[in-house]
Amino acid sequence: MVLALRHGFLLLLVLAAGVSSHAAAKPLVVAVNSPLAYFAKRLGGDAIQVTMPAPEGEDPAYWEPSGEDIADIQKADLVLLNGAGYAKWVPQASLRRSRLVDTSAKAKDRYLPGDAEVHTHGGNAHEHGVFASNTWLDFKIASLQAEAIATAFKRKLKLDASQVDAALGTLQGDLAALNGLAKQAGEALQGTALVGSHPVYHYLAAAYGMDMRFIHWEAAETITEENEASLAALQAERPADMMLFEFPPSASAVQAAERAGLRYRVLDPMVNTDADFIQGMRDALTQLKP
Amino acid sequence: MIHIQDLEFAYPKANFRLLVPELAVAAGERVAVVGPSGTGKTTLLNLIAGLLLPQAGQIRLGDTIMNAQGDGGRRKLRRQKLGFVFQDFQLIPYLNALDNILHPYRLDPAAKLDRLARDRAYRLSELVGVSERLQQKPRSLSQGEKQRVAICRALIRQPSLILADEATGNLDPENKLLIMDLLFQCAQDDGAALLAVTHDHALLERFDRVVDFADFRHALEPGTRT
Amino acid sequence: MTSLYLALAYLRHHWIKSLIMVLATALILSVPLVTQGLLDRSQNLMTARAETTPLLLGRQGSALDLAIKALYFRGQSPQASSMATVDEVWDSGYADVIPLHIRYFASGAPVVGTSLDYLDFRGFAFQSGRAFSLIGEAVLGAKVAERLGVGVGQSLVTQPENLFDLTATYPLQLDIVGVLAPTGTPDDTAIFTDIKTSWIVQGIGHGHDDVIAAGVRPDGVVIANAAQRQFARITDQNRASFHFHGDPETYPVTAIIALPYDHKSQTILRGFYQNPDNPTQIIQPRPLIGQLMDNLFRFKAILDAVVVVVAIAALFALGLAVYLSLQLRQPEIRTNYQLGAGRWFSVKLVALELLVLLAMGAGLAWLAGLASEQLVGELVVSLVAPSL
Repeated sequence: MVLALRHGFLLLLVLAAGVSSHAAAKPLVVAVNSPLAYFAKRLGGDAIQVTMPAPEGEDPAYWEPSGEDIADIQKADLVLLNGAGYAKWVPQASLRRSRLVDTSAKAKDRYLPGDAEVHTHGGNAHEHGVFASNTWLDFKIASLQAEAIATAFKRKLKLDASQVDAALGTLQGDLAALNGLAKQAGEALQGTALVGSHPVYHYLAAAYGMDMRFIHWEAAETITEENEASLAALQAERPADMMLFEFPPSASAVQAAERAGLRYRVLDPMVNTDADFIQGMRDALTQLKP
Repeated sequence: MIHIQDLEFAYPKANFRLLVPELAVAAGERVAVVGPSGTGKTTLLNLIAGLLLPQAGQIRLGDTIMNAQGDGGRRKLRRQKLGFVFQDFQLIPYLNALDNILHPYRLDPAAKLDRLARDRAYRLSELVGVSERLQQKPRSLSQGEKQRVAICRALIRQPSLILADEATGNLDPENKLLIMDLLFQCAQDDGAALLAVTHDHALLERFDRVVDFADFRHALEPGTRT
Repeated sequence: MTSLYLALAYLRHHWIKSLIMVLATALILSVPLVTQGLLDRSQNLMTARAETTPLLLGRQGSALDLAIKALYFRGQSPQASSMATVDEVWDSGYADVIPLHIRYFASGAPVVGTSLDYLDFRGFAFQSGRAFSLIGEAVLGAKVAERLGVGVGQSLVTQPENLFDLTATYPLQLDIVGVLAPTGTPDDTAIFTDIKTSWIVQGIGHGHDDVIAAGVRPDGVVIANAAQRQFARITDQNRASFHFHGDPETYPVTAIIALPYDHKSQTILRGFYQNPDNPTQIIQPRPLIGQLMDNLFRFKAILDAVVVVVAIAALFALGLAVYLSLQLRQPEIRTNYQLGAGRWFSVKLVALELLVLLAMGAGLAWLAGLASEQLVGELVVSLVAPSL
């Protein structure tokens, strides 16, 4: 009897070990920003582990990981890149090409020029950061990105194709709905000149026909005179009606915008958040009206 | 022990012939053969040892007629019945004194080089006074020591006949007597017959008998060479 | 047994002569043994390496140079191919691709710019540290670390390609972040880094302080101050300023390892690049290196013939030595005869002595063969591939 119990206990141990090792064997997927991480979670479900390595409060596009951070990322079975030059650390890092997925590769022809920094070497000018990179704010591109992730899951991680395809179907349905909302917003904003507090909305503006220019404000911080001057210059050129903030703006930012005669709305690109991307975007887009 | 009868021998181109009508040496007897050097005394010893074969006659060693044996038989007789002491010692240069003394054992596949043999080597070396020099190679031994080692080698297998060819020829006068005495004593201990070629007249009185070699040498007349 | 005792006593007594004869025998015998050992081991080493590398791509040119550079990091640098080819093979979907940039050296060891996939592909284990993860980081082969006595946390500096190369390459400090476990392959002698780091060494990528504006042109272009500093070291502070110029497709790659997914993919890939008009050549290292080894073995056959002739000459010399020594031993042989030695006694003795000498010589030659096998590794590759 005791023996049988002992055997039973051993069996339990073995089973537990099997289960835990199985859990540890879940493929690890690293996404460079939260939208991609969200897509990955939707598509992979419980079959995978998804992380977004940038620490809370950091902009994943400008995060500078240490060698050890990269070493952790190297352990991933799949690294989801946004493409279009998103995340400055990527070119500095050593990653296995076979495990990289450039999610926007199929939308290369739709890349938009960004805020160019130009410098010269002996008279030869060259540009850095040529593309705007928040591609997912064009929800058709976002849909392609989701599709690229799904393909990689099926091919490289060998996830169950039918499950991934089903998940992709619903996700693309959600993205199509967002696309519809964005279109409505774009139509509603016809005749409204917009100012982006930061150059992050290129794709949104281009895809949905919004008239938008950019300044460089840190919306959550106190607005400086220099900040105000740049807005004033913009207004002098051609007056705008509405300002778009990435985050809920500080009181100082709200006042500065109002002084310039601008209404404001918040549209978070959701680069570093655990919130539901579809829900967040839906909410933001619905309030995006004149 | 040895009995020679009607022995005839001549080298192919020599102008003399060796004729020995009769020569016998009994066991324990010591016989000297004298005569001027280079007259063929060594030839006689070589005939007795079976290194040369006579044209006629008989050399009897105990019950065996030496010159009736084939080469193998004569080699075997030499190994088993004879002891040699040479004028120039003829020690093996790369063996130490002990191994030189034991050498006859190593030459004879039938002999057993056992403790008995080694004990005998030690005893003999003590007897002749070289027991302290057994580990030395010949090149570090004096002339007298070399001949003592050679005597031990000649006696190690208790031969019935010892052939000594000018055994003291290379030694100083003091050593000559000493070595000859040792040889005599050892031969006597073993009851061996001794036939020694010598031209040293000072030693002759110690022998039981002296044979003049001139009696055996006969000039050949032209045209009678064999 | 007694004959052996006497034979050994003779050899011991004439030990100088014995030693010379043993050495002479050993020398004569060791030449074919050592060369055979070297060749066998080198063949194993070289073909093993070639076998595990299914396909190599590079610029049209000497296939052998390409293979030797890519497999053993030695010899003439083939003309560089470009990242366009790497992308082309990736995009073909027939193979995984590993780029290799092998041009620069640090402390005498080749700096191999590659991707992490190379580390996976060769199945490296780490003695200490981790793989390179950022530009400027390097991983050392076991022998390099041992030879230079450096390890994780220390650094090496790349050497300019030549003294007169004033244009492009600032020496770059490589930070050591890992040391590989020994593999017994040329990987032990190399320094691995991300290919991007190699490009920085080559001057394609560079970093500087945030642009110190000397002025702004009317078209809005910021003119950088001429005192802009070029970094010889990539640090956490300046890493972000490192960037690359020009079309990434044009960045140089010395060789490309392609790992086809299956036999069919391999055949298709080979077919695609086999056109001589294509600026890219594709080679299968296995038959190529096999051919090289065959040539070596042909050379070995000539060497063997020479050895046979020399051995015959040596045999004559040995015969003469034996003859002369027999002459010198006539008195001893005569003594043995007089003392009643058997007819074959002296013959047996001399034969036994010769046998002992030959056996010792052969044993020594065998040891030399064994010792030489321990020393090969590097040596062989340097024999086969002319060093720089």
